[in-house]
Amino acid sequence: MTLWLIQPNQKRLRLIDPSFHPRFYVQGAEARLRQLSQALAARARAHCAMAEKFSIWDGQTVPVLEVTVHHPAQFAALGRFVRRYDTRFTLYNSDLMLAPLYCWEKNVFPLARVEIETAAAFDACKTSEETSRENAPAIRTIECRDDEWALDYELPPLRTLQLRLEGLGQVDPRHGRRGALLAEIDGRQQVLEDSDGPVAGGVERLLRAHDPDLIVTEWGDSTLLPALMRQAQRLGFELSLNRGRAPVARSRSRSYMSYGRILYKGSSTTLSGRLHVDLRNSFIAHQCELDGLWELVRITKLPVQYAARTTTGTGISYLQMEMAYRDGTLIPAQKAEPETPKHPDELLLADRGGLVFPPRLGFFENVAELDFASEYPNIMARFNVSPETVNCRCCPDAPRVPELGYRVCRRRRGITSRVVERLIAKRQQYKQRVKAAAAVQESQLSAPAEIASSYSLRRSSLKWLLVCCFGYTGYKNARFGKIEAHEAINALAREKLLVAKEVAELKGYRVLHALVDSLYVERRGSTRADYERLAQEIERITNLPLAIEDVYRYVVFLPSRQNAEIPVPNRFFAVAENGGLKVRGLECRRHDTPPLVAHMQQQVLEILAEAHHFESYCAKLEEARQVLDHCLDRLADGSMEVEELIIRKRLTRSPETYRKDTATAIVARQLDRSGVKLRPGETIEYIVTDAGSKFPDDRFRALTLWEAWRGYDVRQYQQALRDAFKPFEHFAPARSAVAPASSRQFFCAGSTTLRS
Amino acid sequence: MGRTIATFRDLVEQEMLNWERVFGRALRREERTHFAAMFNRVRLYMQACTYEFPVHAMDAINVAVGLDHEIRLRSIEARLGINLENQWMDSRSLPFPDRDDTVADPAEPETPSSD
Repeated sequence: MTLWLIQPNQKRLRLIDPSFHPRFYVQGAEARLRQLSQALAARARAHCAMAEKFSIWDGQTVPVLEVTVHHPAQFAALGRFVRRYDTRFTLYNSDLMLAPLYCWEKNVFPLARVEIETAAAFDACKTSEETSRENAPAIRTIECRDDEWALDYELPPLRTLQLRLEGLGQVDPRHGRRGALLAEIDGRQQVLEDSDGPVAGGVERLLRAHDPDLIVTEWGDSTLLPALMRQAQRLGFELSLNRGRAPVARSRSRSYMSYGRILYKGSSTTLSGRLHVDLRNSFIAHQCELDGLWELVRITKLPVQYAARTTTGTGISYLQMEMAYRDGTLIPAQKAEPETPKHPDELLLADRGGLVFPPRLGFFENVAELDFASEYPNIMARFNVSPETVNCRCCPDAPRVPELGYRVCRRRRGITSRVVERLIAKRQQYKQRVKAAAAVQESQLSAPAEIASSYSLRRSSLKWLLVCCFGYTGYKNARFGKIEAHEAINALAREKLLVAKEVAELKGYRVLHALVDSLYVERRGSTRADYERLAQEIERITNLPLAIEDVYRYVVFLPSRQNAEIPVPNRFFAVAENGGLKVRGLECRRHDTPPLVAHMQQQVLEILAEAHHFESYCAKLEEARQVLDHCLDRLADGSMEVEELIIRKRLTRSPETYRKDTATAIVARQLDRSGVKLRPGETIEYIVTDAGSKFPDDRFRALTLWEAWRGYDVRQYQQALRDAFKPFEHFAPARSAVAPASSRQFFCAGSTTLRS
Repeated sequence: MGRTIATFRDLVEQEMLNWERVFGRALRREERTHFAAMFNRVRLYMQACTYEFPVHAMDAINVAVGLDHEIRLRSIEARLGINLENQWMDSRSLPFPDRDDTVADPAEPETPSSD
């Protein structure tokens, strides 16, 4: 196993740990296992011995053949060999990633502070490049001097090189966007352009001069690094992206389905000896920045570059597997627990999600939102719901899950329950730290805004782990998945929400809306203290933590866009006591809304947030209408910047398979014709140029192909603005004098007024 | 949860389409609007339908439609300041209308004699 370390004197080291011998387990007939051990011994350096391990499902010990692989590089191959040798064998722990396995074995984790002892002295003055090109020193012992569950920790002093293209960061450069390369290291920014010499040469100089540990890019995976490597190759030199001679690892892009939607996963470019994080190809870095990524990596023990690009579900799986590993429980190579056969009636009852009470439509004042904190993880932790504890064989008289009648084990603590318990606790501690930091900030003793932000990002990354934890119990490929556990959690959640509703109604509150784990309640004249008392009462009865998310001055629950009588969950806006906004389901929350519309809604909401009740709301609405008018005027006179008009859509199929001339189809075909290879799930950007044109190609234009002379469709964007304003006046009196709808007009933008 | 078993919202849509095909075809244009509205308003009680989830979706839809009518009727009563409760409990038959033109089947005229 190869380790890269940074010494306190800033020297970068590459060390080898020869003492790591990963193990996997084989279950099968004893005679066949004996033959297998002989076959393995003849094939590779592997030690086989019989051992007793625990089965995840019944907690009983199982005799298995323990195969200890001498060289980690042979681990996966030997697993495959055993599977081919006899398909009747059941393999355990055989398809785990080596890096986390090493961490579990040695009790270390990525980015940890460690103390090592090497077998022979080595020259600490050598650079990382020199150590990587010769035989690396061997580690004799490695001791962790850090704790992955600590709240305050010191990260390694990583030298960071940032690379991105000038201009719009959100537009994929493969779609034709061109700009100079911006490189930033040690707080200094450089602009690299081909006119000043090859860009690859400039990057190579930076790599050699600064030897960065971390390269943070935008679109580095699919475009920047591959393009730089190609240019370097053309010029006859090799870009030193890796420390050492190993080639840069690349993986292909793919499209896949998830929850009925087609998604696109870009290709990846990962390095050896350095870390590469592409902010545009990393869910966790995008959501929680690098602070969240570091937190996730420390806890899950996944390699940094892998964790940045994978889903958080993999993280939670590895946390569960680590727990199982430490318990001596066998980790199945594939999911082995099929769904228990059910009568159709039972399936109807069991296959349901959380409860949603459609909101009462209208404008409501003094409304409190009560929220079960991390409800699903808390159900798993407090009620011991875990795949192996639901309908266990050892507790026939265990308490039953409401509605379904499933039993939950009373003897064993579930693996998932223990994992989420630790995550919930750490998340809660971070929450307290954030609050404490905010209190300090208010008292103006110091400015710990950065610390609070870091805690907040780390807390958010834990939230994503917890969110996945519930989903993975029902995921078809999850090793510790069992659909009955998933159903039991949902049934308990429904029961708790109904109990909460009943308690609230008993105390004289009216439930306006309830959404799986939160309730919106109101009672005339209630104060925050009253709502606090209600939350405590519900918490006491349900045995789940419940807190006031916020008390709102007013909430406006909006109807469906199609039918003004029918309420829809998650389409509302609310103004908290402190003036904070909560918005759901409006255009400004959607990804395909042009920034112009989103900004208009945000400005309007900020004005409306100053209102305290319905009368002042109506007064503020008049003020807000001026924002709309201003935006309409800017559109009409052509002073709107093109960035404000971009509409983003996700491709649901390949460009050539679209049948109708929808906006997405037209733009995808335009890009396809210009040589851009598009895959389903990718996002494209376009401008509406003339929506009513007879010629489909004139209706919309891909952003990267748009030129100022094409202009934009004023009427279409104005209509989008007016539609986006409608929710605000839905329950308020209409404008006294309605402005006449503008006549059909197009603005042909000149280069002086529009930036391309 | 929407994959193995259809959601109740989907079931309401399906039932509406099923009933629209034959039942709806025989409705007048002005009646069809109310027909769709009646099904749409089931969505107001979606949480109760989902929680009950009967084997036959129409069972819950019927209860939701009845409940909706009850709620709206009470609301109209409240607005008009009337209470129809007493009249419902009154088992006496309604007074016979005075005007004979309201009778659906007027008595047939006497057959003129053949001679």
